[in-house]
Amino acid sequence: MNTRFLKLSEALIIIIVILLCLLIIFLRNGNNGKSAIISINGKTAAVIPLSKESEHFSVKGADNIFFTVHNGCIYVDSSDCTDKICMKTGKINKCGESIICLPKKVSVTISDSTENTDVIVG
Amino acid sequence: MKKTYRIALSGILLALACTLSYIESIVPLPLPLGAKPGLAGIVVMFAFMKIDFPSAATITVLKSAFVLLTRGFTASIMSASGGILSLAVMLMLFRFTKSSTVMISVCGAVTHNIGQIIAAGLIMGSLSSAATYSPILIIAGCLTGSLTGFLLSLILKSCRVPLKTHLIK
Amino acid sequence: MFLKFFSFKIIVIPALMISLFSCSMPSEVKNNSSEIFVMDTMCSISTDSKQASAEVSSALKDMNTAFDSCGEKGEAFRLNKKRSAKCSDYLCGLINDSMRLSAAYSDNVEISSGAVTLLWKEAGKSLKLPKQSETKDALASIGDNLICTDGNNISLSDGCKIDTGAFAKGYALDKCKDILDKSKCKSAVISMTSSVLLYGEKSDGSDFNVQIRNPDGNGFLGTVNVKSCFLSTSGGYERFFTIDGKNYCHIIDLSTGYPSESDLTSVTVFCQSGILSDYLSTLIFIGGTKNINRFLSSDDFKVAAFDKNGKSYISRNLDFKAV
Repeated sequence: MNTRFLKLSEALIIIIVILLCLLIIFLRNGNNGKSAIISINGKTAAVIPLSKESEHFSVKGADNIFFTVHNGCIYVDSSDCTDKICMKTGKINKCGESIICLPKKVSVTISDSTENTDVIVG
Repeated sequence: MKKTYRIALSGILLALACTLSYIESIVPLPLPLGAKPGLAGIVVMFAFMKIDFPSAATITVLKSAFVLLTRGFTASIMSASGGILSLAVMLMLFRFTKSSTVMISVCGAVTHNIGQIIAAGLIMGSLSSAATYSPILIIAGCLTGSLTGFLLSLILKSCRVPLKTHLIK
Repeated sequence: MFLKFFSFKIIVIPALMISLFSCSMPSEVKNNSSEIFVMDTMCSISTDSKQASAEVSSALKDMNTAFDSCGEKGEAFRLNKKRSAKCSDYLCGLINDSMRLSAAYSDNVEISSGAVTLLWKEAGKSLKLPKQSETKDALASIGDNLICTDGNNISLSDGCKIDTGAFAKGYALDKCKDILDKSKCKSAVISMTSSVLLYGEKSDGSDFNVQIRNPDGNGFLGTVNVKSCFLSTSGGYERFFTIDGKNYCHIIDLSTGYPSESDLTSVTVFCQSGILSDYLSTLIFIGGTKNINRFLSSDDFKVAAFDKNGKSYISRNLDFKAV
C-alpha cells in the first residue's frame, strides 16, 4: 500500500517539470507574429495580418464570434459560447500563442509569416 | 469486501464525484483557461486505492456520462478523455511503482490535462494549436494535483482504520 | 524508483516536446524584400534575385519622378505647367498607352483628365465644393484630343492637364515585368497596394494567393488564387473626403465631372497587362453595378467586384473564395 505523503525525489521531479514548462513559456516569447490564422474545424478560413487595425469582424463559417485586431494583437471581443474561455484568453500576438473556442471549433494561431497570403489588396 | 458493499460504496462515490464536478463547473476560479481543481480526482483515486480498479473505471466513465447529460457533448468528451487516460496512468503508477499519494495525484492531474489537450486538438482538427497550451496546463496539473493529493492523503489517514476492519470479510 | 521515473517521463517528455515545437519554425529567408515609397504609396518589392530587386527599385524611383503630376519636381507636373515639353521615354510611353486604352474602351477614364481631377483634389483639401461653372470649364479642358504627341515632344492645348493617377502604377508594373524578364528572377511579388505584379512561378509551384480586404476596413471579402498576372483594385473607401456631411470618392466620373457615385465598393481586375488592369479597375468602378455584367465574361481579363450590399460580381473563370 502506498501511503507515503511525498518523497523528496518526487518533489524534485515535480519542481523540475514545472521549471521546464516555465522555461518553454518564456523561451517562446520574443517572436512577434505577423499574421493570425483563423481556422474553423481545422481548415484555414482566414489569414489576418496583424499590421492592419480591424474592429469587431467575423469570419464566414464561425457565427457570432467577433475578433478585433489592435496594436498588432488579435483578440476575441465577443462570442456567444457558454464558457467564454476564448474571450478570457485575451490578446495574443506572439508566434505560438493561440485562442481556442471549443464549442465553435474555432482556433486562432499566430504565424511567423504571411506565407499563406502573397499579397493583400483593397 | 462484499460485492453489495462495493457497489453501494461505488454509487456513493460516483454521486460525490458528480457533485464535485458540477460544483467546480459553476464556481469560476482564476486558473488559466478554465482549469479546475479536479476534486473528483480525489474520489477516483480513493476508489482504486480502497476498492478496486474496475469500480474506479466505472466511476470515471459514468461521471463522464453525467457530464454529457448536464454540460453537453464537448464537455463529456473532454471529461472522458482526460479521465480515462489519467486513470490508466495512475493505475500503472499505483501497481508497478512505490509512488507516494501526491505523486500519483500529480501524474493523474497532468495526464488528465494532456488527455484533454489531445481531445481538444482532435475536435478542432488542429493538434498544434491545442498543444501550445501544454506547458501552462502541465504546470496547472502539477499544482492542482499536489492539492488533491494532499487532500487525499488526509482522507486516507483518517479513513484507514475503519475501512480495513469492517470490510474485509 | 526507476519505474516511476520512467513512467512519468513517458508522459511528460512527449508533452513538453509537443509544446516546444508547436511554435512554427521560422522560414528561411529566401527572397529579397524591400520597401520604397513611390507614387504616393508604399511599394514592396519581393523577388528571388537581389539584382532584379535593385533594378526594379531604381526604375520605380525614376518613374515616380516622371509620372508625378502633383509635386513640383515631377515631370508630369512640369509638363502641365509648361504646356509643351520634350518628355522622357517613360512619360511618353505612359501617355501613348493611356490614350490607346481610352480610345479602345471608353473615355470615362483618360490621362487628359487633369483639369477636373485637380479641381476636386483642391476641393478635398479646402473642403469647399467647386462651383458649377468651375466644373463646366474644367470639363471643357479634358479630352485626349487635346494632347499632341510628336515623338518625345508632348504638347497640351486648351488648358488640358494630364493626371497619371489611373494609369501610372499599372504602367510602372509593366516596366518592372520587362526588367524581371531580362533578369534571373524566377518569382516575384511587387505590390503598390492598389496595383500588384505577381511574377513567375512560386518555388512550390502553387498559385499566388491574393486576399481582398473589405472596403470598410473590417476583415476580408475573400481570397483569389491566380497564376502570374497583374492586378489592380479601385474603391472609394480609402481615399475620400467629406464636405457638409457627404462623402466624396477620389475617383472622378468624367461623364459628369463629379466624384463617382458608384454603388460598387471594390473592383479588382486581373489580367496580363499592368496598365490595362489599372485602367479597367477604375473604369468598371465608375460604371457601377448596372454596367458590370458586360465585363464579367471577357477572356482578356477577370474581375472580382463587390457592391454596397455585399453582393459579389465575379468572372466565371476566376478562382475566388469568399471569406
